[in-house]
Amino acid sequence: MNPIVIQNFNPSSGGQLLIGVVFYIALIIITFFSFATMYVLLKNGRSKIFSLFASMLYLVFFISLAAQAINSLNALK
Amino acid sequence: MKIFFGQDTSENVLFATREHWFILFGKIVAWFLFVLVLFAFDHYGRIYLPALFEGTALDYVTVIKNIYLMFLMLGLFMVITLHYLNVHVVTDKRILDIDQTGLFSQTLAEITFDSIEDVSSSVNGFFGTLLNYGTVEVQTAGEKENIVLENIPGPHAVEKLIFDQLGPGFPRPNNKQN
Repeated sequence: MNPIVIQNFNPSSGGQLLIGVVFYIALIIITFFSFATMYVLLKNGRSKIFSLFASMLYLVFFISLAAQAINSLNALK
Repeated sequence: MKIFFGQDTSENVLFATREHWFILFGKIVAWFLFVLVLFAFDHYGRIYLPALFEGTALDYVTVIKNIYLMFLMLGLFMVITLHYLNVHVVTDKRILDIDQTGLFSQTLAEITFDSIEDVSSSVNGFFGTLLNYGTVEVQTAGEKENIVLENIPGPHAVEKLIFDQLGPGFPRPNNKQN
């Protein structure tokens, strides 16, 4: 079985550095609003079970997409 | 069971609703247009901007598409959350309008039945008539702001429910009797 190789983001040009900075700023903004939305939903939602279910479902999508996005950033050559 | 913060133990909820599902559907359709942008870019980009789909440029495009996709998912989550948190409640003591206008702004307007001066309902537009949703406006006697329950299902029934709570002594329009 081949070992899983985790690539790191090592910008080798100004363009890569710029997109890396923009990427992580966007990721911070998205993460902030994602958790803020989950907090508001869990705090003010009438049904805690529904709120928890919706938050968990979103979290699965969010983590999957974030992992995919970070992977695509690290794959920049 | 308490369904909103501040509900008295002796207070019975007669009616609780959100905006009509068609309003949420309209917002999701609008969201879907942004999803279509992604598909359109993939389809037409290959034809009109082929340089973006080969070599190193493709890697950059993939990163940008991933960021866009994350914003899209966040947008959908926020649309559904804000719809879910906008609640209109009629109890046997008062009318509440809980408006989550943004993530960090929630307005709670309430009026008791003794301060109500008039109630009116309206159904407008093709979809409103077809799917029976519209607006109920509750006017108050004093300086308090009126409560407007927008795009709720069955507005005429809600209006009648409020009139029923006001009692037989409250002057009703002729067509609202019973």
